Amino acid sequence: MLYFVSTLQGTYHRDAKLDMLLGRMAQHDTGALEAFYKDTKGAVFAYALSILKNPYEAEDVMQETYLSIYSAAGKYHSTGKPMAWVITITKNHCLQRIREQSRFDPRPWEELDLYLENKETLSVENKEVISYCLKQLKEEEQQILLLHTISGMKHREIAALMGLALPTVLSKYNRALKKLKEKLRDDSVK
Amino acid sequence: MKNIENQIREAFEKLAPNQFEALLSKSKTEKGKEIVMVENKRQKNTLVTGIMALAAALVLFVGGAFGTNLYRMNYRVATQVSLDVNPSIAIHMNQKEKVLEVVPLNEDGKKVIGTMDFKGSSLEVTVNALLGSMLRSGYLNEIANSILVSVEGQDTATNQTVQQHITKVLEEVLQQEAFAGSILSQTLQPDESLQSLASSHQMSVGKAKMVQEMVAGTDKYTFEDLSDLSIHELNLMQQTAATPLEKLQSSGTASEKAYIGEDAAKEIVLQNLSLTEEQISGYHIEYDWEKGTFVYEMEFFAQGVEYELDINAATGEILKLEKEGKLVEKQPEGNPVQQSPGFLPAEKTQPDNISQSTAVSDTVIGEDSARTIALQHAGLTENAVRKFKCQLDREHGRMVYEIEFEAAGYEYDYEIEAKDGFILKAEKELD
Repeated sequence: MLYFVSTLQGTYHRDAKLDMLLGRMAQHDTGALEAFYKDTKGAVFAYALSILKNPYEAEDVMQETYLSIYSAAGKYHSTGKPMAWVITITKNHCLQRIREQSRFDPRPWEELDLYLENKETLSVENKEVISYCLKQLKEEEQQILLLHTISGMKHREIAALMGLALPTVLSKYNRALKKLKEKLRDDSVK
Repeated sequence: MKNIENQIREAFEKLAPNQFEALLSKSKTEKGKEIVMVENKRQKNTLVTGIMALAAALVLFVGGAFGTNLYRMNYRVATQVSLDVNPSIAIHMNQKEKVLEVVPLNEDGKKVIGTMDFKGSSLEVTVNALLGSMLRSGYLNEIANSILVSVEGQDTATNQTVQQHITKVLEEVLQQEAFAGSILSQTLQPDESLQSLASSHQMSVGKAKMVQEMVAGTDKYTFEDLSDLSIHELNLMQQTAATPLEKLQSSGTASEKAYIGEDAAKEIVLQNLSLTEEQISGYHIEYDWEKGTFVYEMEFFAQGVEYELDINAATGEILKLEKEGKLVEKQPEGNPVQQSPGFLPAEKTQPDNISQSTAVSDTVIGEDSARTIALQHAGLTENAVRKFKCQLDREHGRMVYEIEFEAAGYEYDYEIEAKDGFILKAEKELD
């Protein structure tokens, strides 16, 4: 319970910080852009990856997304939900990219393993978590789990983003979390 | 075992690449690129439709006498604000200072507005966003720092309040920039003839008014002459003019960073005429616009002679020199050797694109020597060469001979330093 309270506060502070950074970005403060980028890139990349299923495409979309965010920062009206705004922009860029590619990649995740291998900073455990989340979980579960854990978006915000009912989001989240826990426990038993 | 949620977060934070440097450089080249809110729009629209329906219902409910008033308060253009930099943009507002529409008045204005939609926004938000976009697109910067705000409406008091409000917003935004801005502002009463003059020149009524006033006191130039100038250039002119425009409120001064500056202009002239500071009197200098060039117009007396000069404000080139009213135009290009202080030859020439050495000229080796140097370098004789071209030009602040010729199926391209014959560039290409 204590942990729960502290995450909530963490989220609250982070949203206020992101709001503030967006305000400064509207004045073309590139320092603010850098801080904003560092704070949010994990979630943006994970979300783009979940939709596009290709790390290189996700990298491209991530850059496009931040360019949009930077140039549109002046239009952001603080709603206290900066992350929802960021993720919506990410989603739009992903969908745009999918539309632009007439051929849809028939083999999703084909390039993921090699990509993970080349990331030297990732531990074995990190790679396992990533692979499992992306390859084993269903797309909806995966997005709900990633958005909440990485970006701190509230379940309510995720429900609105994905057009799902709040209870559905909650149950999918818990199911995904449980699956991942079991998987990791099984692995550590082996 | 670590908390599973933290584990996920940590793994993905590490996974996401850090390409901030690339992003930063891209953000500089792709300024102003606008975002496409595909999914959101639909949701927004339903919301907007909902609100509109509600508003419509409310109007019906309130009905009758209030209805017309409500309409007037909400949808009629009560005040029009225009921003001119070089982009010209008009903001139409209702009585409550809510934006009804933002209209680009020229091509640059279109670029600034992009896909932004300000309907229903407050004036402050709108001005902020427009200014932000102008800064991002480089229309306003250290070199061109002037913006004109014009408020047009029936009610003088409202006009003034709005004028002060916007000026304050602009000042606040500009304060955060690394340079100081110069804000000109004015209030206007609606004027149809001015309106048509403005729209035929793709500018705001405010800018038309400013140009009109600047032209009014002089027969030096017409409305057409000045209509293409940016606000910054107009600001510079009115700032140094003998009679500044009184009706304009201004804060800050127009930046002269794009130009060599009055002191440098003076120095160039004195050096060229072999005069000293002490010898001159009645000195006056101001910005002027001559045949498409921004110039310093300078006047003074020295040794019983009255001088009047035009100096290209950006390059320092002397474009016109009049002594005692006798016109002595600048010499033909390409021969600065002959330029000795105080005696600019009286030949008439076309103004051309080569900018001239401004200080006392260097000596040059001459075309023949340059040709010999190039041919020697290429290992060719005079007879082997076709289509020989040699031109004295100014490149990166030094005089060079640009030489081109063809020989044995190759094209040669040389740049030779004019003062010592040093080969700056040698290219040989298959024809």
